[in-house]
Amino acid sequence: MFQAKIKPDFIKTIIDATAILVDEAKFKLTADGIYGRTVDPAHVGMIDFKLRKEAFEEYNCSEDSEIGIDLDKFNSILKIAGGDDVVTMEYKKDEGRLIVNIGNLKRKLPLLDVSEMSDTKIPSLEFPAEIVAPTADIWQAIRAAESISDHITFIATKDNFQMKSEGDADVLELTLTKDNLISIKCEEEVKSMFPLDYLRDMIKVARGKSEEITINLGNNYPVKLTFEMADGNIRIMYLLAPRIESD
Amino acid sequence: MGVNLKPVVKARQITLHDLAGKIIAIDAYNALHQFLSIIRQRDGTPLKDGMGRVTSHLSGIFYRTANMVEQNIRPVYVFDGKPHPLKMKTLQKRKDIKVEAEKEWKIALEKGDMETAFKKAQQTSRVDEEKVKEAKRLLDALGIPYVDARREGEEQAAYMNRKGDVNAVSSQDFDALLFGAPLLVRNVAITGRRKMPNRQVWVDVYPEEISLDATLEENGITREQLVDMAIMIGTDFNEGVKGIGPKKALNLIKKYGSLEKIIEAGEVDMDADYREVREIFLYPEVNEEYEIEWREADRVEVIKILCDEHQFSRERVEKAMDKYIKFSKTFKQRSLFDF
Repeated sequence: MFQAKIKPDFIKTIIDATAILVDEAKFKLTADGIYGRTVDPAHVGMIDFKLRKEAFEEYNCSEDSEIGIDLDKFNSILKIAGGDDVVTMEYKKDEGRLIVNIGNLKRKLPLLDVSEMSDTKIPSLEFPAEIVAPTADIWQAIRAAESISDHITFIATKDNFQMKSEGDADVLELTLTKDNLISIKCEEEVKSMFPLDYLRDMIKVARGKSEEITINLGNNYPVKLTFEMADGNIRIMYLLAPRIESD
Repeated sequence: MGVNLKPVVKARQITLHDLAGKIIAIDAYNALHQFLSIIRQRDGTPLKDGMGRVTSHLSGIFYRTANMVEQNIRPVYVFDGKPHPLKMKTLQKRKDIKVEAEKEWKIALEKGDMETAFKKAQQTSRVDEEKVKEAKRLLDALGIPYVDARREGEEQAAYMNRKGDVNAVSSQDFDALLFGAPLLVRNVAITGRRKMPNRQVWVDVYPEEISLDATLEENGITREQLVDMAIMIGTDFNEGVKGIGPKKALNLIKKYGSLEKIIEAGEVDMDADYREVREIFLYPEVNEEYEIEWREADRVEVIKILCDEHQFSRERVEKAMDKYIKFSKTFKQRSLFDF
């Protein structure tokens, strides 16, 4: 038996954050909260989120289970909720649906067969650099880069974090020095290039919800983006594979 | 045709999706042969352009490559080089079969026996120099890399797989395993519905992967022993022993350990050529200087080749090309599971 009450904004963030990568996802309901991990069909982006029970108004889960969610459908229900509403979710094992209540509105959301959805493993990665940066600055660089290219390069040195994008003729650079950053740990220069469309979607999830983003970076290596909301009770981690740099 | 190892390999059914982000070396002759054999009308006639030239191979290269790219698979085609002298006999035999099949196809058509006609027509498929040239030109326009082997395509592809430059070798034949390819994938270029030989039955064909290590482990043998088995069964380079199939060969190799010992024990009779065949598989002759790079597709050139020169449906090609260009951008994108 699973029963939970949550602010619409919190659950919506989780659904939106997953929906940038896939249409359907498997969520784990546990005594400590809801967890999810999904990779997109091209194996380029991955999300791993934790929605701890402390983020809920009420939370009750007597038995672990996995549910398969059609994200679009769930989103269409959540859209109805206003900021002051509370979303109630109920699930009984093997019932095949999630009951969602918003105010007096009751909706039965049919669930997907999770036996067809494989578990996603997090690749074991070691990142030589860690930068904690203001979300607003990262978002600004991405917005600016979008108009000239479809990729962006992250470069970390001992004291600076730089975002650089090159179009046919245009070059865009945004450098954040140690003073602009919350923190930077980097022994020697590392550099990786990423697809802007994925990155934009990922940063957009954090924008306005989390002041800062932790960026773990390597050389021609995936990037790990982590941010938290609701006093750290919602934690979203993205992994994004790099592009091959062409000369 | 390659050696028949089907009963002893450890195959696992997969989907194209499982290959997302992977680089696959495609045995080009094998793929072209499949296209020419499968992409035909009901009476067995291959696709032809306005001048009567066969275009089944171009259709195959175009649509199947697009299909793979859409799944974020990065293909590299590997073309055969000069055949090993020992292969000449097999090649002559294949030629004879084609000539014979050509006659039988015509006879079946006259009789109105469509089933036989289709089957015989399939056997007439010929991958000649001209078709290879056309295929390469189309691949260039699509921005897909290809490599010329010194000998067999699979031999080269297996080498690239061992070096780690590609994640798997795609071929219908099992020879790549003998050449030491760690991972063979089958039915990748031809996934979908396919007609069963000798029957008017269509079946769904699913891709499968065969791991060399898993196969060796499952059977408790080494690669050298697998090669010895193949030699007894018969390869493109030797006839094999009459009455010995995969299962019997496995039993013999497990009992005696090597082909020498099997011959010594008087279980089979083979001429001394087998040592040379063994060398072919264990010490491949390969082209070490190759480059694999995916480039941007040349939309105009692709449409020129397919529509202007060979009268493909412009509407269909343009639509497929729009999609292809969108997905081919991912050529520069790596997968999270590469690390």
